[in-house]
Amino acid sequence: MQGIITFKGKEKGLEIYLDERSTYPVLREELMEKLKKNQDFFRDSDTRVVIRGKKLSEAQRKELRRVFSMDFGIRDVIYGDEADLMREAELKIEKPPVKKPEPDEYREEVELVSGAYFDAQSIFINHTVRSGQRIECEGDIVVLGDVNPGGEVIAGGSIAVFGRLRGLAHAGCSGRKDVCVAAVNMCPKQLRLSGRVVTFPDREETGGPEVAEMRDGKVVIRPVSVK
Amino acid sequence: MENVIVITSGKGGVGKTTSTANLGTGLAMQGKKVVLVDTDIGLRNLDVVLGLENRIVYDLVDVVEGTCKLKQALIKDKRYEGLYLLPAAQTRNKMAVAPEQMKELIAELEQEFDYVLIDCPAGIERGFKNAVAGAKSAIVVTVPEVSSVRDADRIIGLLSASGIEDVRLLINRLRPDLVRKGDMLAIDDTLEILGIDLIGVIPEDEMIFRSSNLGEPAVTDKASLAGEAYRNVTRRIMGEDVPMLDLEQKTGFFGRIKRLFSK
Repeated sequence: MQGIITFKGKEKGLEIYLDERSTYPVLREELMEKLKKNQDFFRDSDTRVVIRGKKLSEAQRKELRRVFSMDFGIRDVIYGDEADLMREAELKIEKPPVKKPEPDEYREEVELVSGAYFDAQSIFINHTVRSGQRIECEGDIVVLGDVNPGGEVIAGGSIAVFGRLRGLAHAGCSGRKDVCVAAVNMCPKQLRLSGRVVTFPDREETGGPEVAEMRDGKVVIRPVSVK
Repeated sequence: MENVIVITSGKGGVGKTTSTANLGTGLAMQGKKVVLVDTDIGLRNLDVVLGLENRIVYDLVDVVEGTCKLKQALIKDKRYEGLYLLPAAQTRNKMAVAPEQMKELIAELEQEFDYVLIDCPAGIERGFKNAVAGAKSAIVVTVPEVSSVRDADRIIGLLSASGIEDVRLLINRLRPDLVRKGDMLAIDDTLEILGIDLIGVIPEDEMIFRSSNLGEPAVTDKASLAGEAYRNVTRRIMGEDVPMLDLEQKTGFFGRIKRLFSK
């Protein structure tokens, strides 16, 4: 974790550099840690914070801004590219500021989708998830093995179990509805999709691989078929 | 299996101590030098099952704290050449010993003995951590019942997290008649959930109660079916390839008649 976030004091305030190779959740975690440690650094609420490095989506920028203003009382947070724009504007006032292309509807949608998937890391579990073990991931989870009773698999995205699912699986734990739980042998006692909790009847045998997904707000189980 | 084996289960009352006593005695009967280590500090009873209660002077905590030498605390079972017991303290609790200290102690025992069997307490807290600290292999004991199997599953996960990969399953107190009626988990169902190799199946046997009370492990009783199963497990620990007992046949009507006459 060392060095993915660099602090630099500038005459006008503080410059924070976020490592481009790291992912947003990791960076956010590390940033909070560092900020909490150096809280007295920000006594002066006039401090301007410039964030550079990792390209952040609009939603992520908003979140960081909110954190700075709510927790540390800093309202003047700008991002690297904006800062460059501002400097250019300060130097050459006569030149009209570079106009950002107006995002049309299509782009907006692409931005949203990529924002949702870009930072979501998926994990691949190469063993059976046993009782008492809990696997959590913001993205998708693939288990190559069984999920035994008492084991828990919690994903922001979808879950695939290449084995028998008997423990708890929760797909879309942060609210996503476009998720599913697939298992070669689907026999859990309970299944959670997004905000829905469904209980299962006792079934030892299944007809083959099945998928549970949301359809019109209901959880539907269907066999996996090649279409 | 390796020479340092922890016998554990997670759940209490499934037969860890009985199995430790029987397997230890079985190994000694095969001419091995064996030490049984009771790590259930505060709730010791391996000494009772072995009938050695009256000979305890020093215990495991005394050794760890340096009150006595390791040799002084070891109790030699006079009935079987090569069988020793390192008893737990009864008046202390699990916190009296740390996993690092256990590791040192087990390493010392390993020099002296062919096999070190560690009797683990129920639970997954300090006592469990102490018991697995020095172990290289593990035997997980379970009874064919969902709660016990669930705990065994948890234990297998924890063993793997502590770096013990050689883990075998011992199914205890199986009643073939109940399995047949569908009232008890079958061996295959249990194996299917846990997914580890089976080292043996011990049938429910009234002799076990008698032998525990008398302090004479069932493994020494030629007429006991559980004893026979334990003898087989002993040989499997030593690396022999022994076929599983056909409990279905042995517990049937003719099996019982045959057993009656063999006494």
